Amino acid sequence: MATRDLTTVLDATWFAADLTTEATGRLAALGSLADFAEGTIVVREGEVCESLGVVVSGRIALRLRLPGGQDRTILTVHPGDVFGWSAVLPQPIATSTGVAVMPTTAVLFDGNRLKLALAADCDLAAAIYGRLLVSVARRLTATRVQLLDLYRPGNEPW
Amino acid sequence: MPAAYFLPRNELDRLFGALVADGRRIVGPTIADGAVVYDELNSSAELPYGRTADTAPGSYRLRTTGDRRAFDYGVALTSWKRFTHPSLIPLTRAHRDADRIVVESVLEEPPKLAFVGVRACELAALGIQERAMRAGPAGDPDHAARRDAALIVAVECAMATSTCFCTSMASGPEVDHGADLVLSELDDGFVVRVESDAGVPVVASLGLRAAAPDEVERATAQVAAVREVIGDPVAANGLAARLRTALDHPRWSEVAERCLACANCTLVCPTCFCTSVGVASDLDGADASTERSWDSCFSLGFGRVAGDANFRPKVRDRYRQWLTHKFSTWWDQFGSSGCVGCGRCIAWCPVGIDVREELAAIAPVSAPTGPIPWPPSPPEGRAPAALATITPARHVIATVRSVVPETADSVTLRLATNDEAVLDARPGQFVMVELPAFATPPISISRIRPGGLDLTIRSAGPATAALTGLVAGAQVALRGPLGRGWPIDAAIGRDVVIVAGGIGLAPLRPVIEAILGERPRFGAIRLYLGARTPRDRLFVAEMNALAGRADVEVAEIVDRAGPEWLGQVGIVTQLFDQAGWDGSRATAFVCGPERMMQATAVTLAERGVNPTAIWLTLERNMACGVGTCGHCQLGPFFVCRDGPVFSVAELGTAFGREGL
Amino acid sequence: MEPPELILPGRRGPRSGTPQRPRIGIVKFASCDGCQLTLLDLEDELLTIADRVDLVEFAEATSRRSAGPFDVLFVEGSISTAEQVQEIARLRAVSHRLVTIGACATAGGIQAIRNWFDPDEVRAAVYPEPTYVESLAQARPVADFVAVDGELRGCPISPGQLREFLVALVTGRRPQLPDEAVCLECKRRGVVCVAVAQGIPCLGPVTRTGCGAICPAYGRGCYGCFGPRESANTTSLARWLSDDRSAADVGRLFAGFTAWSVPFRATIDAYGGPPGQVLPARETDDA
Repeated sequence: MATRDLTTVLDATWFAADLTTEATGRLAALGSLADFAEGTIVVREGEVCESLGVVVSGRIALRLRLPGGQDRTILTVHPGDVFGWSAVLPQPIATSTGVAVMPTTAVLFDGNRLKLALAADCDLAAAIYGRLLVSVARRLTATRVQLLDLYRPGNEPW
Repeated sequence: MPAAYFLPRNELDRLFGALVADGRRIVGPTIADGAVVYDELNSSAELPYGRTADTAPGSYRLRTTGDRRAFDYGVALTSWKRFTHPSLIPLTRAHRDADRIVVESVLEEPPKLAFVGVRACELAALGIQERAMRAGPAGDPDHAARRDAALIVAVECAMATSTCFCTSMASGPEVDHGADLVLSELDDGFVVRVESDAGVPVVASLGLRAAAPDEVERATAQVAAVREVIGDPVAANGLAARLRTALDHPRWSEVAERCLACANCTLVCPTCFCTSVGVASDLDGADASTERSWDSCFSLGFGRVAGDANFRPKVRDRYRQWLTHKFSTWWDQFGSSGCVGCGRCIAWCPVGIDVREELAAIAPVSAPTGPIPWPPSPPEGRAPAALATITPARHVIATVRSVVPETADSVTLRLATNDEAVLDARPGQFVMVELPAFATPPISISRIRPGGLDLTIRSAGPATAALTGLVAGAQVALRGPLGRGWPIDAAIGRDVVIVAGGIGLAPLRPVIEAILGERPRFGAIRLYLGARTPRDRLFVAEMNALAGRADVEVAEIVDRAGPEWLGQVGIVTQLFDQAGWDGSRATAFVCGPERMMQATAVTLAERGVNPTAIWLTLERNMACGVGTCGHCQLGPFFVCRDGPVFSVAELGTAFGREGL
Repeated sequence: MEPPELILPGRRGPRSGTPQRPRIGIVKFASCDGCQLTLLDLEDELLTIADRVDLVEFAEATSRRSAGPFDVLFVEGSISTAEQVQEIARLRAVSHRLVTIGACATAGGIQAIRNWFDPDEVRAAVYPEPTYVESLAQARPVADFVAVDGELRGCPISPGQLREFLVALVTGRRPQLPDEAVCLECKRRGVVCVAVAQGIPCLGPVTRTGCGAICPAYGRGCYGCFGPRESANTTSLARWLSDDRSAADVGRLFAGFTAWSVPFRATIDAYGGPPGQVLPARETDDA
């Protein structure tokens, strides 16, 4: 897909919607579209996370493995949001396993190329890292609320 | 008819005789165990002649004066509420036989009493407590009956104790209204004023002479001198507003270091009215009874709610609740101060905390009055006033037609009744549901239909466990419908956003049904549903059917799931925090755990929904259901009576504030 | 402590299936038996209680003995010897719910006052032949050794609270055992406050209710036999009391039946420990 088309795709996502046209264009030049069939593992917990993805359509479930081998879905990633953000960490090891739970399309950015590009382009880096921080913060908030287990039946006073 | 009569001192028993002849028992001051108390009197000889009381913070001592006056002691330890709002009254007797339930009131006809020796401050207190007890949609019938059965013989103060401050609270020392008879005690007798129709025949039967002008003058001068002695120790003007903005004052924590939270101040207070209901039963739970006793916001148990949580865990919270209620939110609720300046809370505090000092420190006159934390007027649309079934002693017996299992720990009871008030329930209202021998939980109505209603109940304690264990044919006792429902009309012509967390979908289901029943009158309808796990989702088939409609958007999310769940996982706000819709045209209805509702309200506001259009339903420890027991107070609100549905704008910063 | 949860597994109130009689045991450690005898005070309902529960261990009233298991085990007395430490651990393992009854089991009891003194001196002062007395250095509440699910306070416990506990147990509801101050009971009863009106020191404001305010009703101060209430502000009360009396006298007020409870103990320590001393060993009277 042409860079210009990818720009349009990115503009429609929450992740890239508020970036400047210039930033989106530079980002689009680094990415490529990928389609995942239902059940595809897009990133695997504990392994090197090669790409940062922005979901365009579909749904990615992030799962952790429990002792005994059972998986627990802890979060789902929806169109507009990102997965594989570990790819931009100095040690790019995935913290969960991402599975496409329905046919999913995403824009993928190679982690190493993205890191190099961002290191060379402070404006782009500020924009992208800022968006990533928002996304991670949102997940942290959600995780904290989930930790509270609000819907657990509490002991009633009557 | 003369303005005043004169009753010679040695003829006081004739007045007592006239009151007895009127069919009354006499209650008045007498000495017991080192203090003046109000108790039943057989003759005027039992009055505290020649005794007075020296009071100070944490101290009360009787002293002999040497004169012959009977009413020179200030106020008694006990207030008259012991007789208008007794410390313990039996409410109901219930019987459960196989599946049948009978609940009957055991409220007694109150005795006809004459209160002799009521002070101006106490008269004001009787009025204040009466307004509080009659303020709800139904009021308390026992209190009304007792108050109506009492004739009041006030005695104007001729002395003040050091703890008196009626002058500041505009409640004394002069008795100007509310009594049937008013006495002013002089050395040789009493100047008697008749102030009500009920007082006329009593005085007429005594054949008294008119009071001489100098007697009237002495009486007037005497009470005027009391006013001078007391002065104006509390800066009451603007106090309510100053306290409202002093909720974070460091002094609350300082006084909490001294405060024992022993509740003495509230129980000696002549206006405090909070109560709790206890249940007793035989060993089989077949015969049960309830009784109501004085309780206090100073007790930890008073703020206890579901989830082992407590709204006022710290003594600081409880002292603040008491003081701000008494002097500030009382105005919001009942249009007056809750304090009359009798000083009992000062003298009878075991560690001598002086409310006058605390007020001066926390809300000094110099304190700026900032923005108020909540709107000054009570919410509109309280429950309708003519609900015959909601007073604490009256119940509607409903029969379980069927039991629908919903999740592993919750069921829907489909109840049948022909009680018109119950059938008239509106979406968002709740009922108190009683099984004999068990505590009575408030349960939201999850469906209103002809001939009955549905209650969706989660088993999370003994009472709800017993309710969810019921089978078809069993009976339950209901009080309700209670509270203010969802303002569905406010959403007409607008988009509707409904956000439900867990069992919180239950009270929202009637809203969904009402709106879909008039679908063309509303804009876009969006339902966002959160649950703990996929197995904990409520009304799954119904929600799936809604999701299939083109004119309703339904999104679900769960906190945690196994790999078999292909739906969304996360928290409920993630369903709409990145959505594209415009919130300015939307009205939102939200129900779930309070923490979830807080997050939802924030996210909705970020999406442009106006705080006046975000409606949520609060959970507190509702007990009486009509605003007379005090359990569910939140700032200026009783959640049962003023809510449980509130807009975010109405709640202001009371919503989510710690310790309120 | 929160009111104990007494709903037994599978037991959901009288209407859900055939009621099953809970197996109840009552045992004692270092104590006077007064608390367990309170059960016999429930004369009017004793036969009904015996019918609704299966009383498998109650040495004071029946020759039936059981080593467990118990649905609910009531435990009286403090833990004062090494053997008792072993025994309470064994009993805990065979009890679904363990409920301590009385000041000794819940707070250590009057015997815990010796915890402040040299155990050998105490032994020598009390017993002619202390050699044969094997006791721990301290008499301590059961909760110091094993998990406790519920407690009934008092010295002795209140028959009304015991009845409420048993009724709640067999009907499947939560027992109503208030954790508030004695003062509420005084005021509800109309008892004139002995502290304010007479200057009599009273522990009512820091003591859990349940007794019915017996002592103030008879003109004396509460001596705290139900132990500390929730949020017991002993610091403030002690400070107030110390205005009119010596530190030793303030300490003495708290050094009663529940002296070893945490808030009371802290106050006693802050005011110089319990007053008094261990008397020298008695001479054996050979006469």
